[in-house]
Amino acid sequence: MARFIFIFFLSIVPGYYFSQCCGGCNPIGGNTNQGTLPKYMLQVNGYHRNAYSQGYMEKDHSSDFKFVKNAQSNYEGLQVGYGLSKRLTVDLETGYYLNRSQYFQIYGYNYSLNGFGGSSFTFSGRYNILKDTVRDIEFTGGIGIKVPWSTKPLVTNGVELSEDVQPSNGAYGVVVRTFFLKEFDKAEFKFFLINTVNINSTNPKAYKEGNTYLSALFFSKKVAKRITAIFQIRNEIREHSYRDKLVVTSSGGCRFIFIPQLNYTIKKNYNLSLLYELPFYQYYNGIQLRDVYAISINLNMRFMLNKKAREICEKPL
Amino acid sequence: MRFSYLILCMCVMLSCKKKDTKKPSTAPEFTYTSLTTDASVLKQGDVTNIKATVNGSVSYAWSITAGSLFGNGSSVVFAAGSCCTGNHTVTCTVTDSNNNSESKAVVINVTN
Repeated sequence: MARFIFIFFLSIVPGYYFSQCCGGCNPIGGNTNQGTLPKYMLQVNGYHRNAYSQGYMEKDHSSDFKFVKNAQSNYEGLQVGYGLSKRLTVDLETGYYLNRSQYFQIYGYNYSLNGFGGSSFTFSGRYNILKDTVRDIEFTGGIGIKVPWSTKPLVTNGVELSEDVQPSNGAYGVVVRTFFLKEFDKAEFKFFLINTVNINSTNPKAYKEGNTYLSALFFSKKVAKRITAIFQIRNEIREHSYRDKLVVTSSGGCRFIFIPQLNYTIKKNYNLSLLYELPFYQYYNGIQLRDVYAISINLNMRFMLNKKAREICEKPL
Repeated sequence: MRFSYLILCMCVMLSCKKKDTKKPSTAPEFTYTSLTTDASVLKQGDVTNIKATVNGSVSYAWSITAGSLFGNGSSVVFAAGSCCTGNHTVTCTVTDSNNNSESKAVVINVTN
C-alpha cells in the first residue's frame, strides 16, 4: 500500500518552467514520475495546465515597461511510464498546446498572437539506486532525451510567429533527474526532494534557450480517507538564452513557487489532483513578463499488466 | 540473413527523399519592387510598419529572426519586446501561382 501511495505522489505533479518567457517552453519533462514503478506496471498520467502572465518585472521588482498586456496558455500533457524491472522504469512524455497566446496593447492598438501545437517528446529511463526499507529512504536517478515535435517554427496565415508563442523551441535536449524520498509511516507524513536539470541545444534558428535547474521539496499528509494534501516549494533557475551566440540580456532568472495541491483517490489506481502555482519570489535578468499563476488538473491511472503481479498487488493487506 | 537484408533495403528506401523537381515553368507573373520599413531603428516596445510592394498576384510569407509580426498579406507590423535588442531581419518571400518566388529582407535595429 505504501508503495502505491508513494508512486501516486510521484506522478501527480506536472513539470513547470518559466511559462511565458522568451522561447518555446516545454511544461513537461521536468519532475514527474521520478521514482521507479513496480515491474510490469503501466502508468498513464494526463493533465491540463492553464498558465497566466501579466505585467513586467525588472530584477525582483515591477517594471513600467509595456508591451505584452497579458499572456496565457492551455496545455495538455501526457506521460506514460512502464516498469521494465524492479529497479528500472522507462517513460515517454509529450504534450500539446491548445493555445499559447499573447495579447498586446501598443499605442492604443490591440494585437494578439496565438500559437498552438505539439511541444516535444521526452524519452527517459529511471533507475532506483538505493532503497532502504528499514529507514524508509529511497533514491532514484534518471536521464532522458528531448526531441521537438518540429524544428520548424509555426507559421499562421503566412506569418512566422514569435518565439514566445511557439509550441516548441525546436531544439533537442537532455534531462537529468534525481529523486530522494523519506517516509514517516506512523505519521503518514512524507518528505521528498526532486532535482532536475534541463540542458537545451541550439535550434535551427541559432537560438539556444537557457538551461534550467529545478529543485522541489514536498511535504505530504493524508487529511481524509481519500484526500491527501501536498505542499510543494519549488526553486527554478534558468540560465541566459543565446541568439546567434550572443547573450539575450532579458532572459533567465530565478523564482520560488509555492504549490498547494489536493489529491483525491477516485478508486484504487485512479487518482485526481488539483494544483495551484503561486510564485512568491521572482528575479528576472533584464526585463521580462511576470508569471502570475498556473492551475493544473491531473488524472493518474495505473495498470498492472502481468496477471500474477496483479493478483499480488490486489491482495488485501 | 534474408530478413536483415530486407530490413536494410526498407530503411534505405525510406531514407531516400524524393527530390523536389517542381520548377517554375514560366516567367514570374510579378515584379517585386521593394520591401520598406517606416523605421530601421526601434526602441524596445515600439512598432514599425513593413510593406512589400509587388505588382501582380502573389502569396506572401513573412519570417523573422526575433520579435513579433502582426497582420498578414503585403503589409505587417513589426514589434520587439524586452527580449530582442540587436539587429533583426524581417524577410518577405512572394510566390506566384507558377511557384516563382523572390525574397527581400530589411534589418531593424532594436535598442534599449
